[in-house]
Amino acid sequence: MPRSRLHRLLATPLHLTRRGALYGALALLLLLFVPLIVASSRWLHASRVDLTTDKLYTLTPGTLHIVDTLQRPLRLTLYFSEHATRDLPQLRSYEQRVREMLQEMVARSHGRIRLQIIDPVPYSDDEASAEDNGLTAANGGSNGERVFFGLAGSAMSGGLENEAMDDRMPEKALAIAFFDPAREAFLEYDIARLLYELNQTSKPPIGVISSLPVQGNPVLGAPPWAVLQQLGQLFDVQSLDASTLRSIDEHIKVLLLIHPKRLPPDAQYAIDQYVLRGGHLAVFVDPDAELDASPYAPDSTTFPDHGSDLPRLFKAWGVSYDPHKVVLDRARALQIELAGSSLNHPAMLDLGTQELNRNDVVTASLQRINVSTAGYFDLAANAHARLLPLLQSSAEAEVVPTQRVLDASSDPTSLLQDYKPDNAHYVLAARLRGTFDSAFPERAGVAGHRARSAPDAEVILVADTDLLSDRLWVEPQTILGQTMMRVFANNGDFVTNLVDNLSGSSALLSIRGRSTSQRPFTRVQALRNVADQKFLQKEHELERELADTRRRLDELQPAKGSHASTATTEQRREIEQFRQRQLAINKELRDVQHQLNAEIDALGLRLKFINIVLVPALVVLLGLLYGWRRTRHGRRRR
Amino acid sequence: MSPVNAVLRRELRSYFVTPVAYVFLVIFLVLAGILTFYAGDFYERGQADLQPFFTMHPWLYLILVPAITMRMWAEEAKGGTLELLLTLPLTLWQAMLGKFLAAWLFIGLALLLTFPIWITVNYLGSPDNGVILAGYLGSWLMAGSFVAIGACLSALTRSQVVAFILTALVCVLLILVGQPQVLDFFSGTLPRKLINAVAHLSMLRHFEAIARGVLDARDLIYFLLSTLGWLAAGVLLLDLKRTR
Repeated sequence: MPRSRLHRLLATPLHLTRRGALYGALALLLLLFVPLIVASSRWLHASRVDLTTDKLYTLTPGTLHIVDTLQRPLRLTLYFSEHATRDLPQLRSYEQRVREMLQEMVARSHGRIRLQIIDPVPYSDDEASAEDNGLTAANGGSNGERVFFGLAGSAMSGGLENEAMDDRMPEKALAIAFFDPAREAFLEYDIARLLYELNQTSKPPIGVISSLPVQGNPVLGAPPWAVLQQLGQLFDVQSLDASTLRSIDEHIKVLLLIHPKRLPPDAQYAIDQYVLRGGHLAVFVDPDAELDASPYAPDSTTFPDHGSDLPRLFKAWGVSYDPHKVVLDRARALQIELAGSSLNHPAMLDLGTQELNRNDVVTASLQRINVSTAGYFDLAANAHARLLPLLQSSAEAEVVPTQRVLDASSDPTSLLQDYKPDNAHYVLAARLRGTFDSAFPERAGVAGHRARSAPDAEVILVADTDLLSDRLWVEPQTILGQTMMRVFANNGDFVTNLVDNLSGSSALLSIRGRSTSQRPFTRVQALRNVADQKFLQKEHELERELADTRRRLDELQPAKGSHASTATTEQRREIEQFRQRQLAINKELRDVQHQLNAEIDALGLRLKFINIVLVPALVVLLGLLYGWRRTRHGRRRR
Repeated sequence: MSPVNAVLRRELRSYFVTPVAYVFLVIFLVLAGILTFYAGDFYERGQADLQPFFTMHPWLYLILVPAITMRMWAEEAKGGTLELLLTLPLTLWQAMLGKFLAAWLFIGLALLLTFPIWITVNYLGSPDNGVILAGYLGSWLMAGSFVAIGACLSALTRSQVVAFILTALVCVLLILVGQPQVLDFFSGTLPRKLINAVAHLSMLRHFEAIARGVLDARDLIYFLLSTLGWLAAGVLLLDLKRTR
């Protein structure tokens, strides 16, 4: 009966509908679950806490300032070859990092930055546009495809108000040709600099007076030094000729004076007046500029004079500096390769965070600066200014005559003989702040002459020019067929920082030179260093012994003619001894090396034991103890 | 004492009265150590971070979490104690939460016992301890999601073996789903938007995002949602059993 069936259907037991409801809820859960997770991942605004010590994933105030003060709309295009990087997980994860950083900047810009992400498939228009925009492709993708991974940016015409960005014409275009994972620490800086440059209508001019070939040599095809190339990206670098210099233009924001040698009085006067008028000067002097190729000076008989000084101006400013003194520092000696063996050079210094002023914006975020045969500054007795150190030596430093360092060029370790630390931190670079008097009071009559600067005038002094040279901070490296500059010290950042700081645009300062994510095992390294040192010492010892034997052998040589037979026997014995000793020495050296490596291996083994065996064994012990107590307890109860 | 707390304590105690807990802890610690030092080349690569250690965690959990959670409900169902438990004055949610928290805390303890590796890396160099903290947190959150999956699937069946296999299967799927190899495999057949959506479900992706040192709200919400989602599904399954 249809009526009773309906009745039965309506009166189905309640628990069945409950089951139905539960099934329904399960289905709903499944249906909601996936979209909810996808939606939260994709559309939720990223709010996050950065737990990394160096805040690697948080935009620095400098970047935020640059983004906040954009004058015109920018369009960014990130090119990344998705398919070609299928087998390059490192590059893919780096792309994620780059994309996230760009998205963070876009979110902050309130529409002033527009970001587009393009996958330039081979033989597509996108690939052509990537190349047109100045990107360089790297080889080595899947199936031999080319990998594009760069950023093209363009600044649009007009102000920030009204009209859609699409209708505008690009006014200026710049690009990051390839995001090199090795430069991860500078990623934010690189992007922020791109934004900064795009936003700039013109580069601030800076002047360079140098007696070193910092600008390269166009005739010989030598490129400018990397420091100058880096400066050239941010500033309009103008070379000034010291021999004809009469005055320095007001519009020059910063003047770099590199290795001033025999500067004509007029040029010195021009610099003097530039500083007193409020111009910003950075001076690089050096007791021995290794890249100074000038030949023997007429007044020097032994060595060419490669030192520089600025005595007259230094005296007027109250700075004492001796171009015949070099700072050695055995605690910060740089490890170098010389004739196939590595050794610590006490005149070449590897300055770390301890020696860099953490409170000065110029050096605060830098990690490492390499200098070579540096001098030092001090205040003269009559000084009115203050010396604010930027780079200092450690307390283990000693000051020696320049000539001694030059004499030890073939064996720098000889500088460590009779080493007596002075227990003083020598100032290798500093800000000099105060009121400066003119070094040319006799020219008071000249029109426009200034006798004294305003209070708190500032000059930056650096007692080394070698830190500017490429060899102390960059080396070319090939990655995926591309030649890139691998940076191993912050020398370039130091110079850019100080020019940036002096020129007044310090937005980029807080970004530059963040530490990389590379954190080596310092303890193992220290072990290895000690081992190398011991090995080297032993090697020296044994080499000396061998040399002695060889000399004895040579001494026997003249006897050869007179008493041929006896001499030959003696010689033969000596030769045999020599050979035996050489074999023994080689074995000894091998043993030393083996023993030293063994120390490192033993440490590894100890750590493995502690981590893999010790704690689990303790857990077992604890379990047994607990079990034993429980059974004893149980028995007693029974 | 709240019902959740009571279940939590009962469960935790049940772990430690038998040798099972100790065996799990020892296996976890030994495997973690071996994988880190040998498969991950921790000492030889000379970098003061715990990347090789954390990279191994998803795979470690793949074995250990199902082993811990398989008995959670399956054993109760088989032994007939489930009915008894359900007659007690506590809701299914409270029972589920209690059991889940016990297993999650147990894994937390296993993680805490790996502290020598943290001391080791600090002894060898100066690591970024913020990143390490994030790694531990991410690992524990991921373990939480795995435990929720195990709890749900253990409620589905009476057989512990089936529960183990199902849990391991779902976990491995969630680990693999965001891997480029898997995504590429489907790239020809599925629309790109769907593939991108699927990639967001990947447990590994969210874990790695946290382990690099950034606590992103999106990753935290992912773990929270997936833990709660699986627990809710488990409660519904238990309820279904009860109403049978």
